Amino acid sequence: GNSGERVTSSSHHLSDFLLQLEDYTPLLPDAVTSHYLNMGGFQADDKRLVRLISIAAQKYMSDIIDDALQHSKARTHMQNVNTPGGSKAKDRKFTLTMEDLQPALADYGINVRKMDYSQ
Amino acid sequence: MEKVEAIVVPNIDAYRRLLSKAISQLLIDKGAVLASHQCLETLTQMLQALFVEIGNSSHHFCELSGRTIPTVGDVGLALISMGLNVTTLDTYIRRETHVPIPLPPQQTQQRQ
Repeated sequence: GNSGERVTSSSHHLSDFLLQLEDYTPLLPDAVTSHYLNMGGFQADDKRLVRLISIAAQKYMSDIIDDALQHSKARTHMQNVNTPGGSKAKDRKFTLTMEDLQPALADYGINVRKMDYSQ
Repeated sequence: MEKVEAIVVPNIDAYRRLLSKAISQLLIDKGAVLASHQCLETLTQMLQALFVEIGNSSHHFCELSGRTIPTVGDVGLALISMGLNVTTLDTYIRRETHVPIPLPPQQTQQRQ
């Protein structure tokens, strides 16, 4: 079907992409990624596969952080609008808290809840 | 008789420390100079679980087709089935440049 075709074309795309990974170093060292992949039973000799996974995970986390910071920006903007004479300083520095991370993760279908006993 | 050496075990393992370092690096690159401990810990745990799960899933796809060495197809299927977008990865690596985190220097055990 249509989705099958999409998966096939993605796989072709992916094997082309794999060739670029020979001389690209992801943020995390390959040894760290391999260690956690081994915990899941994955053992590959090809370090490009490890890098592919590393980059995919890195992008996923980076997208989540982006979304969380968007939430943070929107919230601080609202606060500045609501308080007259509030600091209009356009410092592009943000502090990430659970207050912003929680709605961002909820958009990804991840439900983070603080346990009753945690501080 | 050999002396029993005391090996100092740090409270978290080195791999996990590097994971949280990577998350911190991503946060700084995105402009978040501060993050609560809970946030950092949540994101680190997510990254760890993500790696283990991708590994597990790829391994299963590989065994499903009767192989022992995973191929790019297995990894691709695992990533797609977990909902990670693989088509935008090449634009991602061209757009974002990171300084890779170096492995910590190998520690040699001191013998006395």
